[in-house]
Amino acid sequence: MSARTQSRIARMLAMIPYVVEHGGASLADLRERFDYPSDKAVVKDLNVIFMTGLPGYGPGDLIDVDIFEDEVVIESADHFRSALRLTPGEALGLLAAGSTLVASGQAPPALASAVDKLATAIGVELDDQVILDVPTPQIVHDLRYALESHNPVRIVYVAASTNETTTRVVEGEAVFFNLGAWYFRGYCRLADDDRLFRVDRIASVEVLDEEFVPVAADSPAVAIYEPSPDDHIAVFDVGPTSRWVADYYPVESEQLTDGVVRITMHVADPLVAARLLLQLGDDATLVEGTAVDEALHDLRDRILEAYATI
Amino acid sequence: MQRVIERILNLLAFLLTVNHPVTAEDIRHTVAGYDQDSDAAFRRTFERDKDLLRSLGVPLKMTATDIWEVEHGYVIREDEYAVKDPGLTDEERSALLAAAQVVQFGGQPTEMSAIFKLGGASSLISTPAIGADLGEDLEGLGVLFDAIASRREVRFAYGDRRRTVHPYALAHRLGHWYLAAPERKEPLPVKAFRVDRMAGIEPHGDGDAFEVPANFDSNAVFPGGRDREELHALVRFASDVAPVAQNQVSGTEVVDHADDWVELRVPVHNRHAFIGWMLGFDDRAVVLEPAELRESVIAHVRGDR
Repeated sequence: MSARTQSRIARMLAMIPYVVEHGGASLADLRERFDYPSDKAVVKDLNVIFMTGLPGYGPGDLIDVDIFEDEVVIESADHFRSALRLTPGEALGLLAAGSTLVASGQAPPALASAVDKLATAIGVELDDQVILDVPTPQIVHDLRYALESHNPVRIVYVAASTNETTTRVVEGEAVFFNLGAWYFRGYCRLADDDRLFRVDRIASVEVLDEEFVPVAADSPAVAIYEPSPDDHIAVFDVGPTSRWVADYYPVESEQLTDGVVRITMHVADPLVAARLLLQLGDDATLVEGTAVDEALHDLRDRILEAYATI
Repeated sequence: MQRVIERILNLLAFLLTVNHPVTAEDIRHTVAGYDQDSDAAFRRTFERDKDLLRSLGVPLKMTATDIWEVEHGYVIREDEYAVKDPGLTDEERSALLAAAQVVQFGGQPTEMSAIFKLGGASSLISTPAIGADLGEDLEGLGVLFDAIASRREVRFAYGDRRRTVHPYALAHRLGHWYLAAPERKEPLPVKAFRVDRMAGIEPHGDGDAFEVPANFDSNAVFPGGRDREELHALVRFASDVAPVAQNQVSGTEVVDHADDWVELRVPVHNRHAFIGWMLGFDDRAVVLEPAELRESVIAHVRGDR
């Protein structure tokens, strides 16, 4: 059964009660409300509804659909007078999406009341039974206001890969939350290209008193690492307690025996893989990757050196 | 496709009006669209239709057709079928739609069907220049969520074992979803299970199967909660990376600073996680106190744990 069939039925089962409850509706209202591409598509579905009903399937048993000019009236559809309940996934999706946005302080008041009404109707207590922790630091708001008013920002950024600090002027395109962290994406004048920044690694933000011309951005709001042919490769085995690495990082993984997982990681800078290996400690064993092995030894020496001097 | 849709709507109309459980044979002979030639063809079609109804969210159940329980039939209770109307205004529906478009789950937005069921909304609204992905797909999360709301047991595989637990609460913390549930038969203590490590999540038994103890504190169960051992570390950071540490851990305090370093007092909620976090700063952060934590870091780096 195709997903398209399913979504058409879902739409019909929602549209019928709406029209019945309101004693009729315009084609335009139905098209917009139920996200149809055209009036014609609405009529097509109404014509299918018209062919269905209760056993007997005679004139009195079938659903009666009248389309007069732009107005739709549905009768003899008492069995579909209520819309279908939300699936648990749908209910959680709406509640979680709504309360995440409410918590970010960027939502209209109508969203807060919608989330409250929905939680009450479903019978669940937010903050107690469903806890959404998307902490939104002030810097997120500063970045968003700057990008919405098209002001570039001067940021001091500490790169995650090297821990090196740079000062950059960025024309913001989006601020988003992904995998537990906030990200800021925009055109970076220093790199003369689009760049993605982790908000918690931005040491300071200064909004500049000038305006930039925004470009239409349609990059996805996710933090995906894009591999390059110049990447270094690290192959390492991890034990059961470090298997989360396979879920958390964009790596390839292969199940070996005894709960050991072999991970293949592509990195632009060998230090990134070396740091992860050092963090995992004796639960990870490097199998392949000379540059990463060298970086690991170097990193270990540098840290022990720092501890020896302070 | 049209024939399929007609048959599904006819089947649903019949089940919603018939008021008693009906067998597959009753359905075959009563509902328009089940004119397949062979028994096997009918059964295939009917199985697909049942799956479709269930994936739409229709509470299709199987029950005995009489008190002797010889035969079983299908039933949809209207009070279970109908949406619990929250009575949203058009503005509230539009706001929910906008939220559902920008907050995703594992790269997928919440299905539009959710908004349709609540009466639909105009899609002509501007979405904020902000987005969030809460990870995980909604199917497994949905089962857990429903079980929490109806206080029903859930089953899932975790590690090498299958478990049946009383679900208390669900939380999205530090980029992951967690379920709070007691691990054994007693209501306490409660453990946090990571949802992305569960497999085969399914509800089990009836609703109202347990009570959540009054002294259950979700904040103490989920990672990142406040009620952990009170340990603080004194760490010297290079000046340029210190703001990152302050951004990443709330409750840090500046104790001392010079031109090229800052000493921060950092709350430690989990030693293991803390050591991993420290190493993320390479050689630009050094734990000064407590001595045994400092020694743990050094031992970890040397590789002699």
